[in-house]
Formats: sequence, C-alpha cells, structure tokens
Amino acid sequence: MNLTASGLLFFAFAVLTLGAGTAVALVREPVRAALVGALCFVGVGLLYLWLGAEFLGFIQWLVYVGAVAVLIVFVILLTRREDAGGETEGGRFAGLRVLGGLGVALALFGALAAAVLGSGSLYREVPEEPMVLEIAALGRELVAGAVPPLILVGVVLTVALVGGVTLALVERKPDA
Amino acid sequence: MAVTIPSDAAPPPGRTSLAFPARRPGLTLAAAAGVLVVGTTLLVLLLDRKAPGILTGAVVEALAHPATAPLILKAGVLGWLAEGWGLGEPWLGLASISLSLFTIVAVFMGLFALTSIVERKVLARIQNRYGPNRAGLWGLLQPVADGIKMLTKEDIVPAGGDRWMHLLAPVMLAVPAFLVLALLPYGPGMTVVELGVGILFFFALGASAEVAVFMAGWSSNNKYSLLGAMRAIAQMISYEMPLLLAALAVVMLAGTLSPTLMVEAQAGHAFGFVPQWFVFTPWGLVGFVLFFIAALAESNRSPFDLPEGESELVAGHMTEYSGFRYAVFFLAEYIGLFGICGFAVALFLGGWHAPLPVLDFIPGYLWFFLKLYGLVLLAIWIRGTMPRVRIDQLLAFSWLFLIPTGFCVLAGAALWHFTGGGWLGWLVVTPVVTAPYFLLLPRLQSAEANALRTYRFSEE
Repeated sequence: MNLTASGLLFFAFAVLTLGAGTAVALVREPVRAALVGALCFVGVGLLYLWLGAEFLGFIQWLVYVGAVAVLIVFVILLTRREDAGGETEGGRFAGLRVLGGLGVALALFGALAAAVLGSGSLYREVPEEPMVLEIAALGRELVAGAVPPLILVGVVLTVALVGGVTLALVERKPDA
Repeated sequence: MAVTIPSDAAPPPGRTSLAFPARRPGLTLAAAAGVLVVGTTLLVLLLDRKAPGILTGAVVEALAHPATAPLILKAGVLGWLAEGWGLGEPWLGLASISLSLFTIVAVFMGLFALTSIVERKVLARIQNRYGPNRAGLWGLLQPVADGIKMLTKEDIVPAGGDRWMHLLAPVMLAVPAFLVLALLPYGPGMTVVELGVGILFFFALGASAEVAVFMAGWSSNNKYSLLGAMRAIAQMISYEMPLLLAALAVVMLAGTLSPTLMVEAQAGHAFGFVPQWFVFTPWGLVGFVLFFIAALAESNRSPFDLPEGESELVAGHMTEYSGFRYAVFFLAEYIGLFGICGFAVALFLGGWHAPLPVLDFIPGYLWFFLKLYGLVLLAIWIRGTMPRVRIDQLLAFSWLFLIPTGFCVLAGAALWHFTGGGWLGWLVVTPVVTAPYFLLLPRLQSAEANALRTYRFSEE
C-alpha cells in the first residue's frame, strides 16, 4: 500500500481518536476520563477536517469540546461524593459487570456497523474530484427540507432546559 | 563565607541613594549596537547568494508601494530562495507559510511586550502614579526584565496535583489563541489562512479555552484554583452567547462566514465621507458594543476578571502557577485579547478600510493595527475605571440583558435587510435594538437586584 502524507495524517488522527476513546474506558479518575474524552472529540473533529468537511469539523469542536465535554465535567464535579469512591472497586458482581459492559459495547458496535454496511457507501466509487461542500447549500437544505424536525428538536430542548431550571430552583427548607 | 551587609544606609560615593542603582543608558545603547552589528554581519554572510540584486529590488519596490509592502517583500524573499538556493515546489510552499507565520508571531509577540508595559503605564497614570520607569528609557525594557525574571523563577508543581495536566493547561490555552491570529484579515490579500468558515473556526477555538482553564484549575489540587476555574467556565459559557449573536448579525448581512469577505462588504463611503462600516448602522452599533462587552468577559478582562479576582480567590485558576508556565498563561491572555479585538475590527469597524477617503494613502494593514490597538487601549482604560462585578451580577447581566439584546440585534439586522437600509431602516431598526436598554436594564439596576446578598449555604 502506498502511504502518502495524507494517509499518514489519517492514521495519526485515527490513532489519537481510538487511543483517547480507549483511555476514557480505562482511566480510573472520572475527571481525567472526561478530559480524555474531550481529546477523543477533538480527534473526531480532525478526521472531519481531513475529509474536507470543515463545517462539520468545526461544529464538532464547538458543540462537543466546548459544550458536551464541559457539561460532563460539571456533572462529575457537582455530583461526586468522595466517600462513595471505594465501593465500585472489585465486588461480587465484577465478572457480571464486565460481561454487561462488553455486551453493550458489542451491541452498539453492531448497530453502527450495520448502519454503515447498510448504507452501501463502502462499495460506492470514490469521485476523482474532491467534493466541495457549500455552507449556503447546507443551510438551504436544513431550512427548506427539515424545518418541522428542526423546530421539534428546538421545542424539546427548550422544554428540557426549563425543566432542568425548575428542578434546580427548588429550595430545600433547612431541617431546623 | 560570611557576607557583610552594610547596615547603615550610607550611599557609596557617586550615588545619591541606595534604593535604586543609577541608570546606565550608555550600557544599554552599547549592547543594542553590538547586537545590531553582529546581526547585520550574520545576515550579510547568509545572503551571499545572488541576494543583493533580488532583495534590494524587493525593498525598493516595497518602499515605492507601501500599501502592499509585506506582500512584495515576501515575494522577494521567495524569489531569492528559488533562484539563489534553487528551492523546488514543496519547499517553496513551506517557506511561504513559514514566512507568513513567522511575521505574524513576531509582530504579535512585539505587541504583547509593548502592551504589557503600556498597560502598566496607563493604569499607573490613571491611578496618579508613574508606573515602571527604571529599566531602560521610560521603563521600555521592563518586558525584557520581566521575561528574564519569569524564565529564571522556580517552576512549582503542587503536591497531589496532576503533573501532566498542570503542564499541558497553559499550552492548551496558548495554542488556540495563536491559531486565531492566522484567520485575521490584516489587509487586502493578507489573510494567512483563507478559510470559508473562518468565524466558525474562531468560535471552535474559543471553546477549547474552557477546557484548558478547567484543566488548570483541577490539576492544581487547590480549592481556590478549582473555584476560579468553575467561575471562569460559567462566565465563558454565558458570554459566548452574546458574542455569537452579535457575530451572527454580521454573518446575516454580509452573507458570508469568512472574515475577509466581511471586511470587503464594508468598503466605500456614503455621501463621500461616511464609511460603510457596520458600526455605523443602528444594529451594528449595538452589536459592536455587545461584542466588545462579551469579548472583555471572554478574555477575563476587568470588570469581568473575577475568575482570578485576587481579593477573594488569590489568583483563581492561576494560583498554583509560577515561573515560565505563568508567563505562558499571561501570554495567552494577551494574545487572546488581540485576537478577539481583531475580530471586532474585522466584523464591525471596517477591517483595513480607512475612515475617510482622503486617508487612503495610509496602508490598510496599518489601519487594521491602529483600530486593533485602539480597542486594546479601550480595554485598559475600562480596567482602570470600572470596579469588579459580583458573580451573580455577572451572570444576570449576561442572561437577563445581553442575550435578549443579542436577539434584538438579530431581529434588527433582519429588519435592516428587508427595509434596505436608508432612513426607513434607521426608523424601524433603532427602536428594536434599543428596546432592551430601556425595558430590561432598569430592572437589573434596581435596589432589590443589587441588595446585599446572603447565600443560603453561608447561613447557619
């Protein structure tokens, strides 16, 4: 196989993404796992950029690194209790947990693989000219064809946000 | 060996006071002259390959056409590399990129050194002091002294902290700050990386700053660091929204995501003297103020500098940083300020365009840097005059006032588009974009909102 500079870049980004993804599962400290997860998101964004999808790559960084990773970090910091740390080590159902985790991972991978194989994109001819994605065309597609689902998603997110704020606003009476 | 310390403050002969060593401008001058001589000799030795003809030609042409001088000089150096050294295509492209990057980094490092002394001087003048005035002429060598101090100080990693994350955090903050500089349109044809979605890249890079600040706060194993980092993230997320909304209005009316094309959309003068910058439209004026306020908060500048508020949090996420790593944080903050001010110039202040047609003889890149530095000076002025806000006031100001204003600016931009500008546009858009100021701000400024606050966790 002829390795070009572009191919080397792809392998570098792929190793970064997969390595960071593996580290998320293996690192013990949750905060560290969340930050390595952010690195994994960065790797996915780099892969998008490598494919020439600048818009998707930058959106990936903006949303996943800037919002999702920070959200995960906040959730870990605001809910963690130091004394609950030792309970998860070992335990009676260790084997069962490993099996369950493997099962979930395999099921997810299977679903993804089926989706990729089913789309038929693996057998399609690669066009000689690199496809140029026009942002305006993407926007028109989104606004012209996908307005109802877009608005629905917006409504669902707003409801979730209002619900979250309502839950967080409940003031507990001190047990005096 | 015993060291004798003169106990009585008797100044040695030739000096009037023990407090400061006498200034020696002669030594400074001699050192500068030495560096110049050695540098010129090295340059002449290096250039001894067909250089004089090509390079002097380029310099003469650059002097004759100051508007495109940087481009001509770059072409001259590339031509010399191609002819004198016989460089081929992949290397020539690499040389071209390296030249651009080197120039940008050198210019902004110089600007950083200058700003670090200008800020202290201006602040001192505002506070009726002199500011640093001992190192070199007017204290101009203070950045050099500071740099040497930072480099030679001990580099401390807190016990129980995360060593690698502590090391990486300042780098993670500095690298995106420098990447932003490659996107700025310095002049016609002078954008280093021409990206169709430049403004999106800018916001994506800003997102990584939050992660970097959190890494710094968490890896320090210090409660003040962590509190400062949490504050910084809450602040950055809250003020990214108004920043985005203000930029979105420009994207809508310029019809592009590329900063260069946005600047080109602001060319020309109405009635022969009013520049067509977006800041001279009602939505653009409000949008610019919004963008600048949010920019101050994004770069942790006063009056929004409470992530590192020294009266309550020591120094926030930078508490445990010292020596060179602290210097990198410092650098990243200033470079970030330059980058965000550069975007404000490109989005609202007409980028490289001159304010009056008569002034077109001054090169565009000089206009760009003049406007950029004007905004930096404005930020310093604000730091010298405004008290720091409280954390609840900071968040309320963004969510209850700035973000609604952002939506009004967006609506105003849409109305401006549909009315086609002109007097009708002014009549329709002005009430829309100024409404939040009259309707929402009084509530934020009410006595009730600013009353002394007791936190529920601090009560017994």
